[in-house]
Amino acid sequence: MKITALTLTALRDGIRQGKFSAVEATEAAFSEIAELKDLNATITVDKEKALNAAKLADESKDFSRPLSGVPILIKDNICTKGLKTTCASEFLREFTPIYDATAVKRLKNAGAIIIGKTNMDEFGMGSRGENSAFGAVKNPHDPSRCAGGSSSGSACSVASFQVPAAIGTDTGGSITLPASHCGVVGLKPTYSAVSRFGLIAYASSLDRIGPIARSVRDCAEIMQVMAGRDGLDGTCVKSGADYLDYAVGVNGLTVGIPSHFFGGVDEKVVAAVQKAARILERNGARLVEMDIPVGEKELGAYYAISCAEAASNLARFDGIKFGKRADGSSYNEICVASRTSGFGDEVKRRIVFGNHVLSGEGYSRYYIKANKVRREVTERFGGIFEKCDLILSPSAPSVAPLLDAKSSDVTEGFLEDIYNVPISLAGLPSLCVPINSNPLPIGVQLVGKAFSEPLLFGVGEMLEREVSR
Amino acid sequence: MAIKEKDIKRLLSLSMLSCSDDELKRLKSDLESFENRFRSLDEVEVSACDNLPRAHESFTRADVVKDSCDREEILKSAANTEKGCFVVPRVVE
Repeated sequence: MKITALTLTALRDGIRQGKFSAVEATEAAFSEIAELKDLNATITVDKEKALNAAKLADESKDFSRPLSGVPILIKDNICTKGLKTTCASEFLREFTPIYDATAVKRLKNAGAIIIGKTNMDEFGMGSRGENSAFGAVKNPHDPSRCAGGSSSGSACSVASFQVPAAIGTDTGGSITLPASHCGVVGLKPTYSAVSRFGLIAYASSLDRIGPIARSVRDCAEIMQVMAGRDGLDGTCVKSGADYLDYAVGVNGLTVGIPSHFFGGVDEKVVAAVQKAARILERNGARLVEMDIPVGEKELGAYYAISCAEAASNLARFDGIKFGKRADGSSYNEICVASRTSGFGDEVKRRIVFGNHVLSGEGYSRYYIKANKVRREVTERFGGIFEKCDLILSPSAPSVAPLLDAKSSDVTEGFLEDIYNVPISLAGLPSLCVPINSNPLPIGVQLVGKAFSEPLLFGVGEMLEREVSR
Repeated sequence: MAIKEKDIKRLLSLSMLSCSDDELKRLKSDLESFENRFRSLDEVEVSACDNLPRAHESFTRADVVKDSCDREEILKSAANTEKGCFVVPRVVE
């Protein structure tokens, strides 16, 4: 079997057992990245530094760390010391951070070899991986289709066997959506489970860093390394969770399934959810229908809050302190010209929406109401979890859409997030597990209470085993 | 709410962005789509106590002075620096 076809766990164990070296594993990843360049999954790779790190690992002969010698790609909105971090934006095309994000530091301390950065929707704003200054990411199962977004390159690189795992980020479905479209496992962790220090913010109250891999166990291995309290993120308060301590199975658990599906959902997606429900039931779960808060109101609340936070977070991009600087005869002229030429259309649109929501009549009309809806959604999920242990729902309303198939109505694309944004608003964890693969992948998501990731891993791994039979 | 051209110009100014006349028309149409899409929020009744974002559990750090990043390293990210400072056009006449 090719090294690159191995899961993260199998690769790590192979290195430990001396079947191959960390250098061989790293070289194999670079070879696949070069071979599959047309998929456009990566923005920056650093062969020299990565091979040096792998060589040091081999020379140390100490492979006791949880990710020793494992090559990993990082989404390009997460800061990596000495390695360009562009957010797929013209504004940051040449930006090189001087520190590592906490998540990256923890991966390195666990022995992972950071080999490069993945393509994405600019600043995380998009559902298809098309809003990138570096071009769209193609779906490895059908290159005429998108990979999903915004962690498009992370999902694509894992699905196409370039790396065993990659790190993504999720604000309103940016891990679970591309995971579904590319047929890989993706975890949107509980809000604040993984430190956001070093993540270039899109919407701070919603942003999360999470793993994408080819098995549930691999996601758990990465969470074990990345999660936990961090003094550099004031919301990252919990520590001590053991993400590897879970029982595989669903016997005796109550699983909530949607009592109805949102109008636009593809029948193939409904069939995938029903297939997963049958597997869960056959393995001892009790299924109960639930009225899950999914709809236009939740979508509106999500976009009002995320655009408002984006407008505020991206206000610091003035062209003076970092990134692209355009010419101008005053501070304002430099700032306006740098932002206008540096940001892509979708980012500019969301900043303008955000300022619409935060100023004048928009504040009472949208922002306050959106926050009320957010609280209601959180309370409704609280009520649902009094009646069931977890929820099964679609990850995406359709299979991967064709590239360049966007509607003239820009808000039409928001509907792709419809099953993800309520979970984001409530800060809950969600695990996407592939269910169907032919002709195109479809994943379903398991949603649990805050910090219930081990439960999701246990049920997800059972589902994964049953599907692969 | 009908979106007027002057509203878009005000939002562009708040956003520190500029655009051509054609882009302005497009932005107006996009903002109108946004308004239509999220009409469902109009039905939400709010009271005075709803004027609060959702609070996350959080902690604060002790306010202690300690070594941070190197000044020269930080300035490398900027396009124009001099004598350890960012260079901008004169702001005080």
